[in-house]
Amino acid sequence: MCNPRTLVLCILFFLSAGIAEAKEKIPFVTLMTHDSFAVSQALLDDFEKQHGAEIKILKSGDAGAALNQAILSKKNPLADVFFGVDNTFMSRALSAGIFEPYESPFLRDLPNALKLDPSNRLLPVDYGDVCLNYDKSWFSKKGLAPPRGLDDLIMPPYKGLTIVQNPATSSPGLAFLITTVGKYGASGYVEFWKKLRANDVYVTAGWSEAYYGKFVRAKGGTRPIVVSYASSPAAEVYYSEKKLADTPTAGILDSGSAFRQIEFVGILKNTAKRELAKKLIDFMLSPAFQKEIPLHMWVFPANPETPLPDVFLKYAQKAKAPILLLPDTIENGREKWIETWTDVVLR
Amino acid sequence: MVQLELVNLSRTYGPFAVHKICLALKRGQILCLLGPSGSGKTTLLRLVAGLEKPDSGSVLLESRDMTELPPHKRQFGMMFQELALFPHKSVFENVAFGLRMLRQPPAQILKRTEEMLMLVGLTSMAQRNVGDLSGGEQQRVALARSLAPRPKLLMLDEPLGALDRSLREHLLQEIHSILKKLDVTAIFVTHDQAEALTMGDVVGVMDQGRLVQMDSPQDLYLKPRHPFVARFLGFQNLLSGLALPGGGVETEIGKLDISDNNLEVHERVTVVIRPEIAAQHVRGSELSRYHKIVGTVKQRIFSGRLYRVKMVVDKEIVLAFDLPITEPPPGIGDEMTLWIDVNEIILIKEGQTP
Amino acid sequence: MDRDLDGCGFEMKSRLHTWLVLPPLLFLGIFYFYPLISILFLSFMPEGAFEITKLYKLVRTGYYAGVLWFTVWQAALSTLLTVIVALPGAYVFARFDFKGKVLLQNLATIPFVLPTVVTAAAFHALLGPRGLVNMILMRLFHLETPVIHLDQTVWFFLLAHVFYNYTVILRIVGGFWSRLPKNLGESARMLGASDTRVFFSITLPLLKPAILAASLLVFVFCFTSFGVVLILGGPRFATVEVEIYRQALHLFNLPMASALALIQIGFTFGLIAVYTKLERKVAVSLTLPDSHSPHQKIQTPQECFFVGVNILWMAILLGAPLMALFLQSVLTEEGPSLVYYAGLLENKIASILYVAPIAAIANSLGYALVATLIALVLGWFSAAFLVGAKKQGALILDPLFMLPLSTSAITLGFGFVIALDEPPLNLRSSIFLPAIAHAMVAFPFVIRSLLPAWRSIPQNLRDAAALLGASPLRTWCVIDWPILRRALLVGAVFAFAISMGEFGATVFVVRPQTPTMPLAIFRYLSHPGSLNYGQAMAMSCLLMITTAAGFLFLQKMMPRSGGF
Repeated sequence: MCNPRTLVLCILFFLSAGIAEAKEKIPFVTLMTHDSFAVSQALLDDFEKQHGAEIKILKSGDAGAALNQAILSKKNPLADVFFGVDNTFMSRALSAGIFEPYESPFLRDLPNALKLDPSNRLLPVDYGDVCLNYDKSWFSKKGLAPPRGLDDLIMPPYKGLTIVQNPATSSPGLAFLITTVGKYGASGYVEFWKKLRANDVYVTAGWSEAYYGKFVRAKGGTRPIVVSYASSPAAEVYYSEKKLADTPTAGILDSGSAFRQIEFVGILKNTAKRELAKKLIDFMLSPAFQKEIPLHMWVFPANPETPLPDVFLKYAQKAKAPILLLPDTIENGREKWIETWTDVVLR
Repeated sequence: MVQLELVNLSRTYGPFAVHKICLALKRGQILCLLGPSGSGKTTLLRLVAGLEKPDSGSVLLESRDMTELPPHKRQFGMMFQELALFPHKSVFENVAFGLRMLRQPPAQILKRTEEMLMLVGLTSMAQRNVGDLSGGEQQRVALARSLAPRPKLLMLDEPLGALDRSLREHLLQEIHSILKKLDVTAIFVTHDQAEALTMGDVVGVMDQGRLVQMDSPQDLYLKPRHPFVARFLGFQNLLSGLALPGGGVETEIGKLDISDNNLEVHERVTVVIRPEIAAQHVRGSELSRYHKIVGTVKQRIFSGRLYRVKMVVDKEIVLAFDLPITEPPPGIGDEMTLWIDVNEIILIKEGQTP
Repeated sequence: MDRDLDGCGFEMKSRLHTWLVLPPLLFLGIFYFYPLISILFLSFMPEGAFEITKLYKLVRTGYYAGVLWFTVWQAALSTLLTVIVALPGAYVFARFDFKGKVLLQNLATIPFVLPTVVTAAAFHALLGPRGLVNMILMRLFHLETPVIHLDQTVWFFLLAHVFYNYTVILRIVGGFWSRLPKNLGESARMLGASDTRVFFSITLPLLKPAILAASLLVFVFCFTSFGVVLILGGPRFATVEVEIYRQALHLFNLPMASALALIQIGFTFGLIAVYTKLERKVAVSLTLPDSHSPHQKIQTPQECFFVGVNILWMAILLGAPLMALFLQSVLTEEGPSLVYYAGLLENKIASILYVAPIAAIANSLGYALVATLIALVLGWFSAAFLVGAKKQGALILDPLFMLPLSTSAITLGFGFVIALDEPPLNLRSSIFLPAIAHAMVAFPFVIRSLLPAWRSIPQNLRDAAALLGASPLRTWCVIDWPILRRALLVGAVFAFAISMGEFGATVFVVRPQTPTMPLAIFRYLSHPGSLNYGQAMAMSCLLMITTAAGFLFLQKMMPRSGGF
């Protein structure tokens, strides 16, 4: 009756899964992180060789989802180390009390501007700037000068050109909203968004829909200005099917027009493997790991001495004077800003 | 030789209960179960088949108790009201199904199936899909299917219900002759009294879960022992009567002079006058045997073989009679005199419930 | 001995019947209710006390009532549109035989597996302001501005809902329809009914159980729609599911997210309870389910026209977006090329997250096959129970079985993380968890597909077989199985498709080293660069092809007929 082939296939699958399960017996340390975390296998093998322990990676959705799960499971932590709290979520993470302090010897290599937690529960690993990107050829074809800063976006020539993400559903969207708060102040940002709305801003739910849907470089896209990352132009060169002499896009990095997102790592409280956890954090701040950050995660390593790959040296820029609001300010303002924004831009 | 015996078979829960059914059926006999819908005919059939479980009582086949045997081990056959042909199988496979269940050798299956298809005249349609057959053809397939494994008892649950009249009559005769030819013991369920009387060697009338009367068709027709039976056989002329001292029965249409009646004085009876026992004229010498009724013709229907006449007697009693076409009755509204053969009048005693 | 055993058959049957419900209930208990209750408990009472302050907005403003209303409204409208659009297609598939039918049927199911972002990209490429259709129209009529303005309107995501769910109606209603006796309509026509009258007074009432079952699935699917509304509808529209996502992940208001999740679950439960009641009333028994050769060749010109128009319509609705996707995967900046497909094979930076296409296909197929198997077994048990269940039992359990379909992936994903982390249920990093999660969403489809078919099997067919000497097992093999086989196949196809396309829950439970194809697509889409985008499209096409191949495989695997 029941086809024997189906059965055999399924038994085989279960068996192979069982075997895969059974062989994990060497000590390991678990790193909980978000979707976009990436490194090379060789680097993980290095750690295993040095410390005789494997790194198990546990991915738990995007940055917000991952942090939420870490907080929810704080009594029985799912991992030993958590990577991926950024400065917009930092206060929330610290007030939930899920991290314990660790003075890594590598901390002294890192610039003070990145060390936002004085008690070192969260240690900076990398940073990247969220900023506006524009398509160069579109502007040169139109004979229009690309915008230089946020102020230009609300000018008549730039009407109907900008795409932003909904800060309620997108991390770069939130970063950009914070940028405007940082630049125009707690009341001025409302005026800016009112004018931006009047200037026909387009809102998408997430980064992919903006960059691959509406941005002029996408098939079917029409608008030449989009909120993205300062490293995006470099990625455009790196991930292009033909050799590009220059970046097709550029970031707007003038003073006050970008937000610096810093990503932190920390030891989860109640871990049973504190020593291994410390080693993992040291490892992530060490030159070998820092060197891999640019091409795997498309952000800048926290250690300024790290040699950067060619494509970063040539095409990736940093914002000149990025907005750096205190994590507490962000935590206290976030919900109100998002609601106000929703009222002003969407309703 | 008794083939099938039901002893006190009851099932009291559920919507269509049956109560203490007892009957015996000889080998080769056809029993027709007659009754209105909801009288428990189908339930009884399902109990016999083993599709439902009785609360008490037993089913005996050739003196063996079958009550606890599941249906597939009873070797009974059934032709369903909705036929229940297997829609995804061909005519041939439908008929061969029971044989395959007996694990007969293929050659034998082929032979028997072809035999059965020939018997019902469907040889040419063996490979057809049952969905493509006409209603009558489907009935034949169902019959052949139920007969193929040589069942020890065949049950037919209103198998002709869905067909038109002429086809039904034709198939009825065909089924009857096939059953007789194969000498099959059968129970035939129907609510049509003509069908029952034509088919049955014995006819059982059911009402509210009870077997009210079981007799040969002739006896049932001539001697119904219960007003319900009389009514269900289609008799319309039912009068209530009271036995008088010195013979005779008093009814709504006057005193009927029935002397040989075995009635106690003042006993209440139902008087049944069959429609065909009236005549417009009788010979003078026989007058004593007849009772005279005078009334007004209310309806007159010519049906080919006879006239069906309804007349009003005493302003309120309506009686119906079948009269020969050789002597046309008067027109509607006219007065008519009829003579009823008193010896043919049926008297049903009160309290004769089984 | 033999006799004793058979004697208790009647009681045994009813006792056995009750046991049928145990496997699905156990499964739901462990993998659904336990995680769900854990997460709800933790969100409402993080410190042991009920945290009510974060909920005050739920009742204080009309906003959330508005969201609920919008959710119901769009789901109802989407369902209605899908039924209207797909019914003619279901008729054509139920009644006619034509070349390429199987292919077309499989093609129609493919949208079901596509990740929302990919579908959105396809729709944009087709109907967006600079999409194919607008460009053609603008060139044809020498216009300056686009003609079709669907972008970020209700119509855009309603269209996408139709695109996604067309196949549900096609398969479930079509499958049922093909077993309706043709002569029913014919006899009504003999009685003088016009074609429309026949349809509304004969066909439609008979189809009701299947239409209701399929509509319910579509409704629940649209009710919990997340990505489609978020991306195609734009940020101005929010369903309850979108709101849960927003509250949980960006506002950190877990009590609110949980309350909304509860509302969603409660609403679905009520809806399905009503449906269950309704369904029992309209259950039609078909005396002659003609599954042997229900199809006819196309004969008259009218039939030819009707079938042709339908196929054309399907091709436009379902085929055009898929074709647009395919074009995007082969049209590079330098003309047509397979460079994106080649790129899939290359691990440029030796990342641990790189997954070779063949590995992603293997992962997806592995999860999908196991999930399908689990879903079929659970769905079978549930349907077997529901078919014979007393009214009260079905009234509670039927909606219960459907709940996983309507529970937000985030809530459940969090629940998995919280609840399944300790022995003996230490499944957090188990390779089976994705398959289990997929099976949970898929098995309601198996139930809905099986139930109408199962209920339509006339009992007297089984009786007839029994009287002809078939044992209960034999009866099951020759009567039930051939009729249920199709329904089971439909259930299997959906289970498989759901597993292949599932993203929301997978992202929480899958191990990073064994990503599924949708996950791989998302990884490509989260980095800038035309190569990444092209590879995402290429992977989407591979997903479509793999899914289609899977359908064919399932059709082959399903034994043709039982019995002899």
